[in-house]
Amino acid sequence: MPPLNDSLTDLSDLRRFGLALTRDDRFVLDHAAASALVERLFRQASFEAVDASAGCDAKVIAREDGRVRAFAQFVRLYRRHVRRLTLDDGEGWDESAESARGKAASAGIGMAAAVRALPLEFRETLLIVVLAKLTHREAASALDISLATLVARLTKARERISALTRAPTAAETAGAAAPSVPHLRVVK
Amino acid sequence: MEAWRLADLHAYVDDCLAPDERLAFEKQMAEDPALARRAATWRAQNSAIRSAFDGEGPRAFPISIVRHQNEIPGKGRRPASAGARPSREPSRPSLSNLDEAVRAAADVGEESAFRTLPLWRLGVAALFVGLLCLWSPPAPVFPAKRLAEAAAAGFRAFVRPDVAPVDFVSRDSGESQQWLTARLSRPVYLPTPPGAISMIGARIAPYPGAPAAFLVYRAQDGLAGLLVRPLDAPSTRAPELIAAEGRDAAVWTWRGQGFALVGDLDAQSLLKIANDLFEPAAGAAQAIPDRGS
Repeated sequence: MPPLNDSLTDLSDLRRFGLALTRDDRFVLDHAAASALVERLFRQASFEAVDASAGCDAKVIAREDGRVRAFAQFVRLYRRHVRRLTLDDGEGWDESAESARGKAASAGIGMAAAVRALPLEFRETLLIVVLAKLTHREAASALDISLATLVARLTKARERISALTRAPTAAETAGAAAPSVPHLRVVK
Repeated sequence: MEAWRLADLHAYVDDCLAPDERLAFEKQMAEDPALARRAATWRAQNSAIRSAFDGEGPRAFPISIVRHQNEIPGKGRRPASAGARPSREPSRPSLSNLDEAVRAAADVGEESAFRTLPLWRLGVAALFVGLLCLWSPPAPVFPAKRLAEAAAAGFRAFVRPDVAPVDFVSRDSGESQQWLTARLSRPVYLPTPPGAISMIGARIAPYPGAPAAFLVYRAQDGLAGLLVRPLDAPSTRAPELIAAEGRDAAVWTWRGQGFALVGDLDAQSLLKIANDLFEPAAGAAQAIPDRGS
């Protein structure tokens, strides 16, 4: 049996990643709800990670593999969770990301809000590298994508965050402050 | 920008480059100010993201998760909810269920109003209350033995004659805390050393999974080493003395960290120092504001 329990001793990275990932201002609005969801997904992920390794040769599996496997299971379960919720809402997978992004698509918002405004695939990529501090190779393995895709997503995520967190320009401020013209029609 | 250069830029920003690759990339940045500017922006962005979500880390998992993790699950064992479809809202009682429940509660109330309690039930209740008075909660589950062994191994490796035992020489606990936090890229909280010992300095020690902080103190009778590492376990009530690698070690947890104290001291002196280190730290736990929402 691989030392999966040893490799999962340091859970703080997975928990920090999970809380940041799951609190999306759409389905999960506060810390308590995010904690409950992370706890449930974590339990399920760790069970599945242990089960998946049961048939493998213990010598082949390194300790770090256990950690990556736990992240991979967590990400997979969370994607499935969001997909189900999105379908329940009657929206498509991509539309969920777009609508969440649209809510915060104004310049000058805080860093946490900017990260939450990213589409799921960008958010999970950025957070697994920056918060969980997995190497690019490990992150690509955990997210089940190629290194090239990982780099492309990181680039887009970082550029979007830069755009969202920059101070709004004078034109944008003026545009936001100007009262919108009401679409009224004179009825005689 | 070329794809390979972009990949290297991300790898540099995320500290994924080998030392020689890192040097080579820094040379490229010296020749290309735009590249350097972009790297600096993204590095600052990384720091901002970490600090924006930093409050989530030091908080401990509930004890149920710690226990679940420490046990070795057998093949095929799954939680009850493993295959269940996740629901967004807790199940609400239907009107008929509610009605039945109210009726059942009313029946129980009627029965108990006219029934006398048998003597044996009173006896069981008294026994239960007595056991409650005597019962003390079980000690928290945390890998005390592993902590103690790592501390003993670190002490044996680092504290040797004619060898500097620390990388960072400082008598100030705050300075060492800052140095360790920067080196380990995560918050490290150090207890204030009591008057009986003085700090020599700090260094990084190996530990399975992630490096740990290691502090060396000078006591009257000899040197002592304190291993500190993040640990998702509830705080212990007091340090516990255990044997590891032929030495005595005092281990405890506090504020999401595990501590193991070893040294050239006898068991009683070691435990006294551990208690002195633990008590101010446990008191300070109230003073330190909890981060995050």
